[in-house]
Amino acid sequence: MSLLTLERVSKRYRRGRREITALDDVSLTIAPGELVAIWGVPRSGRTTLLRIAAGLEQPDGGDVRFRGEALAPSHAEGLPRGIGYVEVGLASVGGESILDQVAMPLLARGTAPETARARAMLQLERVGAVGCARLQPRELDPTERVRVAIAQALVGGPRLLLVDDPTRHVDLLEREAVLLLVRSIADGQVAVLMTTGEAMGVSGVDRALTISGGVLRSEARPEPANVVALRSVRSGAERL
Amino acid sequence: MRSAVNWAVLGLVIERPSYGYELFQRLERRYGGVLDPPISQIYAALNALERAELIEPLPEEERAPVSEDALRPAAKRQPKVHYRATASGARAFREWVAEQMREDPRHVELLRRIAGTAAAGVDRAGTMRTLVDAYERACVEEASMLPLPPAREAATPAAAAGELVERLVLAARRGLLDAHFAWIAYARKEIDAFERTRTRTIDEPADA
Repeated sequence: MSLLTLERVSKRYRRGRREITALDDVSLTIAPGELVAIWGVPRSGRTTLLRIAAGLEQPDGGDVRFRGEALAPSHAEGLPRGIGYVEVGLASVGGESILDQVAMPLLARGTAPETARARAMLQLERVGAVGCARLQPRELDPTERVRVAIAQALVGGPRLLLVDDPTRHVDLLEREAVLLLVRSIADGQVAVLMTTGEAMGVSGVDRALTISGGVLRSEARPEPANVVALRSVRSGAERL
Repeated sequence: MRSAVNWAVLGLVIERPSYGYELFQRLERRYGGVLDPPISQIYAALNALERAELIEPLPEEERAPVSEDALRPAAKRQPKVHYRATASGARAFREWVAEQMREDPRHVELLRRIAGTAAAGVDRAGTMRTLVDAYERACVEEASMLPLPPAREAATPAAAAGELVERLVLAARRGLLDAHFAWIAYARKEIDAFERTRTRTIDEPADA
């Protein structure tokens, strides 16, 4: 059974007298543990797609189902159970430590502080950011910010992680590490739906789609056997 | 014109008339990490583009309704010079893009087929879109089959050199795919504009 289903979803925004179509008849399913990348430029509708999948916005038309049930509008405290949303540019509320920030979703749910912090520390280990635990948000570099945002989204134990363009502000040489982290999360049986603005973002995914003008357009399913070995990349460059 | 920033700024102005600070923000959103010029360089690019008559100030009465960015109080205080591309700016940008893509015969073939279709008229805009869609599919398939770069874990200098070459080859392929992807977004807008122009021409009464 699919984990997430979007069926014929559409979304329009009003801007003054203009109406802008953010999503137009979008259908998409995500299977448990699957890593799906959506390749699109900013304003292509990619973030709206993620926000609707998270229940953070309501579609004007169509259905969104998570684990077979209609997605309820999310509450003030955030996301439906089972969904994590990674928005890079982690909200830096007050002067809490990173550890407390990562623990916040659990504290908001009423988990005891000691338990919440212990689980937050486990997630910081999982994303390779233990060293950030005692830091303040403003002390993080862009890559650490992504790792910490992922840890915060994972702390509630989601089955689906929605990640909005994780490599956007990350140094060129560190982007692959961020993408490998995302891959490892999907390998740990948490499905991931991610947007990206660059070719590197679709490397190693189970399925890649493109979006432009609010329409999902092309889809690629790389079979592991077809993933080109590096040796053949060179001859591939000549072939094209 | 050699500066990648100048070309990037011109591409953004072609997409939508804009002013210095907004272009700075759009450039950061689009190319952050690849191109990170200080805002002074955006203004320098605008000056250079205007001197070369590739862009021009947009008359105030032709401005689009106030954009989100302009609603910020700081932006409200003083009027900004909005720029739009001139016809020669649009042509220069197309030529530059074509130049970037010249080494890819598959892309040249696509352009040839689009040109053939364009000559046949407005009812072929659908065919052009299908061609672009198919090209996009090929690009996304290729991108999804490129592996992530190898880890930097070579034990010997020779192996490290091999890894370096592999990483650089891979980066070149990806860079080209990123350029194609930007081109696809641009081509779709051009085809929409082409269709609108042709529709207008056809709809005009014969005596107009």
